[in-house]
Amino acid sequence: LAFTDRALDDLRGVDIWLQEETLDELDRLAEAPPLPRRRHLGAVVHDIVRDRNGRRYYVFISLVPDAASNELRVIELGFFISKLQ
Amino acid sequence: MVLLPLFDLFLSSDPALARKGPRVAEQLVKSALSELEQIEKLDEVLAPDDASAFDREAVVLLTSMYSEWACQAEALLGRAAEVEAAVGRVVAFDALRDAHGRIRAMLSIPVDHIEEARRQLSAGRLRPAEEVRRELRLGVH
Repeated sequence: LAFTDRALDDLRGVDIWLQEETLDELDRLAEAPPLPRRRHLGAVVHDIVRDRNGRRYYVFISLVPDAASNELRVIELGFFISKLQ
Repeated sequence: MVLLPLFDLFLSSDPALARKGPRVAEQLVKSALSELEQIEKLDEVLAPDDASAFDREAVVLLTSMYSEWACQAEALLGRAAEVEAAVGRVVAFDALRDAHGRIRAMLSIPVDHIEEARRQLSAGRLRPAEEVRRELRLGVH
């Protein structure tokens, strides 16, 4: 599992608990393919959804698997928070 | 979501007709999710085969399509509160709320950041996960 600097900066912008949840989820994904089928701009997309303190947190992750190095590359992340209904 | 005005008509009309609101809502949600599916299929077709490539024109076009979809989904979800207050929870809205949240998270990434990330990927400038965890824990910038 490897990250671009952009992806690292994206993670710096969110709460520590969500950073940890995201990293743990990516570890799981890297260890247990298959990868999701959804694509955006040529990259694989993986979404994470977490509920906490009456809010729902959506994490959007762009990934590129590299077969040669057997590495999953995280290129950018996006976040959105909504109030739980 | 061209059917939105029809939904407004149901909401503003007599109670007997308004009772059909949840069923109209379900159809509108299905229509919205199907529209999103079409955009996602276009995304797959328009995107470069190599994810490290960056085509600003395609990115801007796709982003504006997703953005327009998100705005229309918000208009529908705005009416959801009114419907649910009158008839109780409408399960179909949950699927739309989650699809909308996913798309808004995706749209939170500026085009310039996408370009920067693809450039770093292309140049092979990558950090191992252990280093990323360490830096985040230390709050290193």
